[in-house]
Amino acid sequence: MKRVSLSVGFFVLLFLSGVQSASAVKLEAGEWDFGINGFMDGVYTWMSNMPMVMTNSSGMQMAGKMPEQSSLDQEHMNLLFGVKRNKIRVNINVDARNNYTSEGDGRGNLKFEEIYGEYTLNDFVRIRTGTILAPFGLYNSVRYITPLFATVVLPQMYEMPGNYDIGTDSINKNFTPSKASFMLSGDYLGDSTEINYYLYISNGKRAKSGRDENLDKGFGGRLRGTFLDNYKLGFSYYTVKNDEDSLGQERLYGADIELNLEELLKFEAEYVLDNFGKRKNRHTYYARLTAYIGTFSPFVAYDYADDDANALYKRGQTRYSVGTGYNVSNLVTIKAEYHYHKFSDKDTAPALVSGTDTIDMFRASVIYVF
Amino acid sequence: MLKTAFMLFLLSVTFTGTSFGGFVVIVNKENPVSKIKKRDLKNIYRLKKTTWKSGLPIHPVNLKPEDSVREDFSKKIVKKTSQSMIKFYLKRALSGEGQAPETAKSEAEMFKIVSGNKGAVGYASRGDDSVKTVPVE
Repeated sequence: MKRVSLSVGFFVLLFLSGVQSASAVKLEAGEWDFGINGFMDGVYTWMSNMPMVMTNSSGMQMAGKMPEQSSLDQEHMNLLFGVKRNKIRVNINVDARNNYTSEGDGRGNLKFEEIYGEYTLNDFVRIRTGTILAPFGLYNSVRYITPLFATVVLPQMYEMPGNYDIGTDSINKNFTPSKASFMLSGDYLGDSTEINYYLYISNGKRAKSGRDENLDKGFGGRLRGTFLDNYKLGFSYYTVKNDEDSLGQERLYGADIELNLEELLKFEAEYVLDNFGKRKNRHTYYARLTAYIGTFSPFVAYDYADDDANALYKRGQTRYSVGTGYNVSNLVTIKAEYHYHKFSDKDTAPALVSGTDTIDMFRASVIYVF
Repeated sequence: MLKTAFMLFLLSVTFTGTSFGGFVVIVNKENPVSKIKKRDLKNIYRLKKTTWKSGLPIHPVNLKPEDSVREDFSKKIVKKTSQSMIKFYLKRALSGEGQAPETAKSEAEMFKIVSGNKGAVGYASRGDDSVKTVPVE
């Protein structure tokens, strides 16, 4: 009750603050530019049920499902500190999650999502080093910045649904890489054409000996082209050996497309293939159409994720979504969406979980940007 | 007669430094640039192009969002409205890719900022002795 009242109070505060004008802190002192930006958001989630797989004391996997449930949480409090002097830039992105609970259950988490320094040699060459969100697909490098995407939750390739981990022969991992430590990037800027490239190195899993082995490093790259200002095509690749699931060499292949019709319609679609050395491939794809009508941005989306090695998702999960965003002001946005999940039947051995074939889910969020 | 009028028109376009009417583009007097391509100007205000050919960091300056000259410049050069660009700059800032350009409260302040920063570029409804006007190609 206390938690709910605190969360409600938070939302009221967001609305009240939304009627005031506010802006990020920006200071310029000589050749130095300082900037502080950030956002806060809260999310309400309701789901009709959720399949679960548990392992009992005998090591046997059991099927089941969680009943209808809902939650209201303050999800993020994100601060971005930026300093720039001539060709050098330093960014620090701090994210505090779920830290508004009053029950002291320890779920609060403060993380430095990104800390990096960047040197710009010219438009074609930029060098960035630190802790960097790996550029893969349309959203991996901004996956925690909820004001930047139209939906409450990202597609499954970036954010697998809860309870994905069944504990054996599978890991709770996304289809996209996590973070990189060194990146080279640059742009070719034409009249109505733009080419962006990114090359990066990441840390893989440390060897059991505890040493930082070079063979465990991950390598990735992304190439994106923008044509006639409105049509974008991208390709992403990442490979790592002995990543967190220790299943040999892993290779991620991604393709994405974004089509814009003036500022009225946007179509996005992505596909990712996750190839393992010792496990069957996983693959996922989605498509989304968003309209921009005044302060509203309604959308429809289709999303599919398949993982043959995971007893839960062996059957494949399809998610149909419909929702909208509403810009209360430049600083406050409300989003609401409905998801219909369906597990498909496959010719392969039936999934372990047969407790449910469908899940209904509703999500709403309020975001305040500063 | 028609030919003369056409030649006069061409000359006026060449020497006033703008093909678009409504605004002129200005840089610091010590900036060696003598003309600027429309695509470069667009990429400067989209925070994509950050250095001049000389290696000098570019410092773009905007007028206030409600200023009609800014709206005109934004539509003709960046191909977006001022309001769209406010959102664009906010997104760039949140993703750590750059801060919005400095905003001048008036054209007088615009001239002051540009004349005080070697890498600055801006625009106004007219030129000024303290800055250099450059034509847009």
